[in-house]
Amino acid sequence: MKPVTFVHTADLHLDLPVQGWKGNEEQLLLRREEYRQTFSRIVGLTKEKEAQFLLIAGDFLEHEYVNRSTVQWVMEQLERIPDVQVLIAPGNHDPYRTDSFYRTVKWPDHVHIFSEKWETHSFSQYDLCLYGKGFADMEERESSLPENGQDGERRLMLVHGTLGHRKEASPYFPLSMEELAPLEMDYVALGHIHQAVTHRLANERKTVVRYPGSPEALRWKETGERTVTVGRLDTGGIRWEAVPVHTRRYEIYHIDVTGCETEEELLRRIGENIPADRREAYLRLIFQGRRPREIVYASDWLELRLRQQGFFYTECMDQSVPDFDVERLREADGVAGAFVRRMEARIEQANEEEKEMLQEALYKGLEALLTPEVVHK
Amino acid sequence: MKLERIYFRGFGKYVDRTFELEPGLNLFEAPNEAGKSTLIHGLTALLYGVKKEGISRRQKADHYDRYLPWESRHYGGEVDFSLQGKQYRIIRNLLWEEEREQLVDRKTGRDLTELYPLDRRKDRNLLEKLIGLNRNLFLRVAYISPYSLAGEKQLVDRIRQLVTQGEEQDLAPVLERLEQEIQRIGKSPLARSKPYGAAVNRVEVLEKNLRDLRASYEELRKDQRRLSRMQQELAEETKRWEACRQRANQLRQQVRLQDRLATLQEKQKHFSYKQQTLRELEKKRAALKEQRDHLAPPVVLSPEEMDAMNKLLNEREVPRIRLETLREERNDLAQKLASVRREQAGFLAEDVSQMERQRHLLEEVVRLQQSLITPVAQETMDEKVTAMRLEKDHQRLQELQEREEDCRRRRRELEDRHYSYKARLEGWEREHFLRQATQVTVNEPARPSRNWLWGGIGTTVLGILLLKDAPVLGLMALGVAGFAFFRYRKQRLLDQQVRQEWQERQQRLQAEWARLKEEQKNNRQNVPELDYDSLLAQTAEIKQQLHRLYDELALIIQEQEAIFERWQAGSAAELYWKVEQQRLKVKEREAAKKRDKEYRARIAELQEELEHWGERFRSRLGSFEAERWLKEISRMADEARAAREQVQKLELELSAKQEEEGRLLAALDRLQEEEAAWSERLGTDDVEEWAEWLERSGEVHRLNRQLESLEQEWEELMRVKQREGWDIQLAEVQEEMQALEKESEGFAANQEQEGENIRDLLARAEADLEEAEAVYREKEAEVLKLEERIRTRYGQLPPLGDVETRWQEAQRQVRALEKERTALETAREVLQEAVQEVQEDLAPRLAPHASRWIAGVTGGRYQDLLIDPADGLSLSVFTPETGDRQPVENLSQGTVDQMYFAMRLALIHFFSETSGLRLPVILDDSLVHFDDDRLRPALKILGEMAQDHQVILCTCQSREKRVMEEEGIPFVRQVV
Repeated sequence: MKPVTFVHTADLHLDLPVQGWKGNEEQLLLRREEYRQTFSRIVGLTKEKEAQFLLIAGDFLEHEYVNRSTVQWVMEQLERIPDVQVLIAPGNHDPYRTDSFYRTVKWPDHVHIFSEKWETHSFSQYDLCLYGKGFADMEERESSLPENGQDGERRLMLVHGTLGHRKEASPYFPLSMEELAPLEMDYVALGHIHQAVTHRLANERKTVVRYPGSPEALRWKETGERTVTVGRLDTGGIRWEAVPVHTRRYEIYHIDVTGCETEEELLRRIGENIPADRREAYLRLIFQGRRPREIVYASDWLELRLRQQGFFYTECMDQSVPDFDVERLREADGVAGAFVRRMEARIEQANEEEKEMLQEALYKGLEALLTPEVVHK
Repeated sequence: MKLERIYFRGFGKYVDRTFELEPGLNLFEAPNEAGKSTLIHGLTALLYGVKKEGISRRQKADHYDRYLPWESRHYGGEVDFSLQGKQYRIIRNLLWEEEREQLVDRKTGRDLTELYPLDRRKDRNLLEKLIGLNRNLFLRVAYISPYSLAGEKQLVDRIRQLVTQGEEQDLAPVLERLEQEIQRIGKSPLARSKPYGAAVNRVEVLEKNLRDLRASYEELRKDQRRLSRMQQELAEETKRWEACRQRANQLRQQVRLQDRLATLQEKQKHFSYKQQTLRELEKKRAALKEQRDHLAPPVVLSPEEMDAMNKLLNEREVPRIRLETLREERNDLAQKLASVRREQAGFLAEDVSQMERQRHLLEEVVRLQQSLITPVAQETMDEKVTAMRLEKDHQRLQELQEREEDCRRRRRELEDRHYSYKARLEGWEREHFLRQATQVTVNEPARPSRNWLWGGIGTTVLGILLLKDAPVLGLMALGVAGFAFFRYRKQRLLDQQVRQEWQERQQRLQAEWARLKEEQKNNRQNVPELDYDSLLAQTAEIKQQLHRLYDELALIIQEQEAIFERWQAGSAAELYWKVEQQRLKVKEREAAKKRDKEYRARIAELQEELEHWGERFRSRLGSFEAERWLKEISRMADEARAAREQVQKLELELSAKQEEEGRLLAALDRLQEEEAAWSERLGTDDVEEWAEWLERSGEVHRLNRQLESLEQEWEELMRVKQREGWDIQLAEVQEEMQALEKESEGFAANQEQEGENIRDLLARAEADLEEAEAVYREKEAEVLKLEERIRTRYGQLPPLGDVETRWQEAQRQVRALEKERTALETAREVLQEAVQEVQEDLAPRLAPHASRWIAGVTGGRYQDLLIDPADGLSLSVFTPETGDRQPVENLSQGTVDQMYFAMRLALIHFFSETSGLRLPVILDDSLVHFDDDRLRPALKILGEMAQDHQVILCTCQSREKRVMEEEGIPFVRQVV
């Protein structure tokens, strides 16, 4: 049996609006380009690994946002690997609808897009059978499974959906390990979950079920390395590895500002806390601890200084609190005491969302009441 | 604080006036308008200046102009006072342009002014900084007025500040700072200069952008749906087209097969036919040969021999038969000639030319006879008579015309004369009339105006006379006279007009008469003078002559017309023409008579000659009759000519027959020689046999020619057969046909509609194909067009994701700003709540002070004054009767005044206690509404107050002084 190599990715969400973006126009353009670079890198990797298959498990093109030019670019990229079988199983963000580019554009011959019905493709040269299915629309609450294959053949499955140990209700094609196990697949290539995760099923073939995760971070939750899965089927069964392909990672750092009397000191502390090799990443800095009561951090200014210091991109979130002795004030007579007591009473009653605002109101009120002049940079 | 001296350099009515004030109670008792209020206002103005409070600009207070000094150019003064052991003097110039303030330490003489910097209004706020009360607060506290303190927030704030003993700073700036922060963010989404407004605007702009873009994307997706549907349809159309093409191809193949088969069959038929032809040719040739051999005679004659033989056979009998006929005809002719000569001997001997001459003569006779006329003698006479009568009438007419002319001339003369006399008569009559008209003067118009004139004069005189004795009558008479004069005046104008018209007429008549006279004078120079009666007589005579002349003229004309009528002529000229015509007629008749006589003589002469010649033919011609003779002689001449011609003709024919006979005899000799030669050649002299052999030889020759042509044809065909290889081709054709038949068997099995013509099927399939292709092409074009449209449209659109990213970011920004603003607003709100909470603590602090005085002021009726500092200082009490808590405003006015009075005192007391300042108490007619029962306790309390506070009591009544004296309250009386 010939060994088979495949690259498995999913959840590229090309042309999706960048989530929680705070950068400027130019940076946004750059970010958009980085998503493309990542896909280009995946194609490059497929070529480099001499893979026979590129499996894309859905949420590849963001249905509502994708532009024709992006589709054109994608096709041009795929033209780079004409000998590779590219198989795309549409997901809930790029369903196989009549208004999808999957159906209205002539894709290269080596690219196959799975329809909403289970399809079986046999590749006898590799003794391989490939099962795949796409989303018919934005939701698919009823899941289904492919028909059982013949004995002896190697089996791959490509689908977009939500995997649980047991079947649970989900609008996104709920699948369970229980029902997957009897299929005796060698590898189940899934998409939908943006964090990479692997499961081994307790069946004969010890099926590997894997979400490769988003290959490029789409939101601040998706920090760290982003990968695709490179799998190999040979006589020894399935072997796989996660290969990083991201163009630029997202990272979040919490900085304790306590003790920083000036912003310069804060900048120094940031510098100390962040390793040099992370300066190229998208960084979210969350300030915590206590700051001098007369200082309010101006994030624009800080971000500018950090950029000057060689940080590629930073966004500062000040969650530090001004250094008021709230305990003492709470006990005091007069307006300040009354204010603290009343604010705290409100905070206690408020919901989570309001709490944050009320906390801010408390410190703003105290600043106004007790600080001769607040320094605004 | 003790006021010691107030000096007005100029303020209202006070100019260069000093008031020395004592500690304790100072009583200013003076009637209204004496200047008490001016004093109080002046004191405030000197202490605080005259700028309006509470606004940031420097602006005059409302009362500035009211107190401008009446008699001095100075406006201002000085106040000496002691405060917390120090002695100060405030010196002020209140004139707006020269405004100046100065604070001097009276003990040291040091100018303290510079210690108090100017604020934006250019005010140093000297007293406010010294005692901690601005003018408003000073007045509210120190000045006892009968008004509520509700709504006085500032006062409450100050009290609160005092209560919290300076631990609290002023909260206003804190709130202001929060407000500034809120303002910095911006409250309204419309304020685009503020971050919030700008952010909201950005969101709105982006949102609109996004909405539009989303709509565009949605529309494009719709297009894509359409495209995908169309692509599906296109695929179906492609399939259909392909099927049609296959079917058409199959049918085409079948048709081709069929065609080929038909061609081959045709070819096969063609070859078979050719071979058949060849065989038939050979058969025919053999038959012909056989027939020829059968027909051939012992001696076959050559064609030349046949011609000669033929000729001989045809000619050998002819000369002999002809000779016999000829001899018979010659005899007939000779007999006929002899008989003609005998019968026509008479005519043959006659000279034909003589006969012709006689005929000409006869023709002349006939012509002359026809020209003869027999004139009628009577007619000729009648014509002559008519001519004479015509002549006579013509002459008479000429005479009559001359007479008519004469008559007309005379008539004209008479008429002229008659006209002349008549004119003279008329002239005479006219003259007579004018003479009469001009000489009459009686007709001059009257003048009625004079009557009024004289009447007027008369009544005037009468009036004057009566005026003395009977003045009434006199006056009446004068009145009548006046009326008469008036009438005279009007009538006179009318008279003058009438008279003028009359004179003008008269002048015209005179002129006319003069003219007439002149005319008559002229006339009389030409004609003899006649009087009127002789003129009349002469005119009558002329008239009679004229009548006679008219009658004569009528007679002449009548006669003329009778002549015209007789000869039926319209005029004299016509009648003359008729006379001429008649003369010509008579002349012609004479000429004709003469000619006739000549013709008759000639006829007689000719008749004699003709009768002489015709003696010989008397029997045939009979007696002389020109026309009959002419006819008969013409006939005789024709007969003579015909006899001669017949004889000549017969003679010619006879000689021709004789010649022919000679020629025939020669031909007979030659034929006998030829026959002898043929007998020798053929071995027989049987002419019958000759003829048979001749015929058979001809037949043999004909068959030979046919055989020859058949032979040529056969040879030609053989050559073609050789060249074309008929046998090989035929074999090939048959082979191919077999193959094709086998092939077409397969199609035949597939063919569904067996009955139908394959060509029809093909035509239909081709039409289907064409239609399918058209539909396919159309669909394809549509798909391409839509694809292109989608591609172009997408190309024109910016990435939706980017716009949405920016929009989300803008929204987050708005939310962040809103959160910050809400936080600030909440902070402010909670701060205010906290302030309220602290303020609510004020009431118990103020209450003891108020309650201290309320019992005294109300004579023990009310014990507690409840103070609510929430909105200024609202007061309420528990009414003793019901125990209800009521706002003081619900009580009687007198009681309300007492409450306010107590509150003021409580305030002053409170301020004194909390700030250590003993403020003066100022009352300006403040107790005016207090009745005597209420006044007394009030003054007692004032006396009590005066122990610690300076009291300035201004009143327009004397009862205060009295009560104080009665109660033994010490006071200093001041003069206003």
